[in-house]
Amino acid sequence: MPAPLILGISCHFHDAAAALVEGDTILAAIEEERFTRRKHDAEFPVEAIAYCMTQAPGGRRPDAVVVYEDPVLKLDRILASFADEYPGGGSDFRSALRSFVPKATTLPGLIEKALGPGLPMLSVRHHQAHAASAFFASPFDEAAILVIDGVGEWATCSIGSGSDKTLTLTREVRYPHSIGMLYSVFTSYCGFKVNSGEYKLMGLAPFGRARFADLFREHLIEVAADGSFKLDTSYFSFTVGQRMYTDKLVTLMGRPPRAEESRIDAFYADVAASIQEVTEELVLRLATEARRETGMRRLCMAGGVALNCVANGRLARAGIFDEIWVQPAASDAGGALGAALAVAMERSDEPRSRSRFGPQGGSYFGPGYADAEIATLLDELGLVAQHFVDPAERTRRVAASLAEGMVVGRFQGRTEFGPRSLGNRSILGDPRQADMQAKINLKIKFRESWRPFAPAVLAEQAGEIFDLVNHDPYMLFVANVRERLSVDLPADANGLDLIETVQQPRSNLPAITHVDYSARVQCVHRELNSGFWELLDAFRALTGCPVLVNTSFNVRGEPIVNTPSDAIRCFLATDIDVLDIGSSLVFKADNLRAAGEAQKLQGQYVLD
Amino acid sequence: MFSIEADPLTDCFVKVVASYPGTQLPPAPEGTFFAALPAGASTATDLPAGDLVERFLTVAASRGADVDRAVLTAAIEKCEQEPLVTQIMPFHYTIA
Repeated sequence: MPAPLILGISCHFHDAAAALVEGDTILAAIEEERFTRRKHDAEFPVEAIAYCMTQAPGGRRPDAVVVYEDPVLKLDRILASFADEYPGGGSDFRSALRSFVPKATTLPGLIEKALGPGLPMLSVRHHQAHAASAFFASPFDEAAILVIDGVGEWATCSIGSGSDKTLTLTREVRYPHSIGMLYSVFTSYCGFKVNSGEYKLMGLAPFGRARFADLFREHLIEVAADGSFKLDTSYFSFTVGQRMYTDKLVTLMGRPPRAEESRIDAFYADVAASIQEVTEELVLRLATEARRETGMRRLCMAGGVALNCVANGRLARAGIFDEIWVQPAASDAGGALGAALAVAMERSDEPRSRSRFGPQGGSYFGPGYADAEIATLLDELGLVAQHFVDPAERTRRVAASLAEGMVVGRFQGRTEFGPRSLGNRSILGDPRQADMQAKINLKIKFRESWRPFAPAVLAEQAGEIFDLVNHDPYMLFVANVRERLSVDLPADANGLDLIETVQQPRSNLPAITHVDYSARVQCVHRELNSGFWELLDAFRALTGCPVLVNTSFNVRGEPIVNTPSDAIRCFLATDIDVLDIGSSLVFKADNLRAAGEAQKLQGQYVLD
Repeated sequence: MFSIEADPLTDCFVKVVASYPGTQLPPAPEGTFFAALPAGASTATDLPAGDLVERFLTVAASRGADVDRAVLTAAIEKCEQEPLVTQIMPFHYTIA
């Protein structure tokens, strides 16, 4: 009897996605935004489902479709939230119910329309799905599990454990007491968009001092000895109004919230540093409790807060657990995968698979395209391209271009599942060049010049460059650049503003070294992505440096490129110098006319 | 003429939300803000298709709420006629 074929769906919240698993083999997983080109698209994932079903063995129909989240419990939470506000909140209640009900009641019909009638439909609780995405996709036989996010139905933080095919969550902290939402409050207060600007807040934190951390501990959050916590809700407004906090919070902070896109001064950097510090403390205390409760030596994590790679790095260094594995699609997109895996493991007669990197592998579960298809497209578009029969020769040319200071767009293999580009849909650059960070930020990504970039490094040499605890392939742990590579700052470095600060090189790899000497490291393992590993190795052979800047292949406000057409459009409309796509290389210098026309057509990017 | 009673959503707000238990934490052992998960919380359940109200009433009853079925049903039926809007504003993300 074949292993159960289960389709998981996450939608109507944010980051809609679909995933198809056969037992614990992940056949496909992809966010809907990659197809629709709408960042964080929450619509029912028609395109993602259609793609996933192309990967079904022999065109087999799924044995069940599983939706991430229980709408009954969510309705309970919505009514309870408004009960807190009653008799206020009437108009917000009307909006909320009008938004929630069509989502809850139309889902079965949408599934039937996409996949035909007669399929069993199930739902898995929000945190159960996150937990399953963390444990069943990991390489661990047994592990403690920690899920931390904004909110699902009720749970905002859950603790449990997994062993073989069994996963049990035992305790939870419930809405409105939420670490994820607390972090989002300050994301918004500091002038960034909720649900997308949290990365910016984390990136801003090292510029500041955590001078408000005690204020937050004293007024905003009470933490019990077991790490569980309670917010003082008088400072927050999660249910009604136009923002997530009350005037009381603004009074406490003593300054108005920062206007979006306005200059960032030291005050807001200090706010970011403070909430980051408090968040890290909470994560450590919860992990300590998970270790105490389960007695297990390994930890799996998921939920949006698990994407806080600075907290993850601190947790890894704390040594509470021997090993930590974080689901790379830890936010709601990963709920589709977790929902599918949860049901597949319930129904499977087969033992879980065993491998060094677990079912998640390199997290390359999206569409890929044949070299011939790409070459034909380049030809049809009239682009001058060089085609290579020998992949090694192409790799050497790309490495040489990088060593000359060129920026390369790499489009190879299957698309990554999760918010990070891991080499297959990546923009790459030479990290040794002092101006590389500003060049990619301003002329290619069109984003704020202070934002840091992550390094991809040969796994074998990662420990020589970074002070690593683990060799994570998903860019989910921050580690410091080794001291021997660090550069002393000039005596007058203190007191510089944000831009001047970031322009001071911190190491011999300035483009990937953040102002606190940290880096969000992707260790590239040959068995997970041989092509990308070989490119890094070729760059190392030329330069002695086994590291490249690796950032997602997109411009600000746009989802990561998905198709060859997306990649070509992004390449032509930006200052990327070389496009490494399939078996072809396209140089900007050979295509200046096409690039000029594309740049004229490039619309205004959407602020994220 | 304006009539509150004629609007199922306002009716639901006044007759259901007003008496619904809030989000206060249930009594927990001293020294913790964790709540224990109920048995069965880890198991997948059937997706409620047409029985959202029926299943919700069971959950509500378990929380000590006596919800007027007719009022809630009318509100849900009214909302079902609304277009599906998923591109929500950030300040609503906790709700929808």
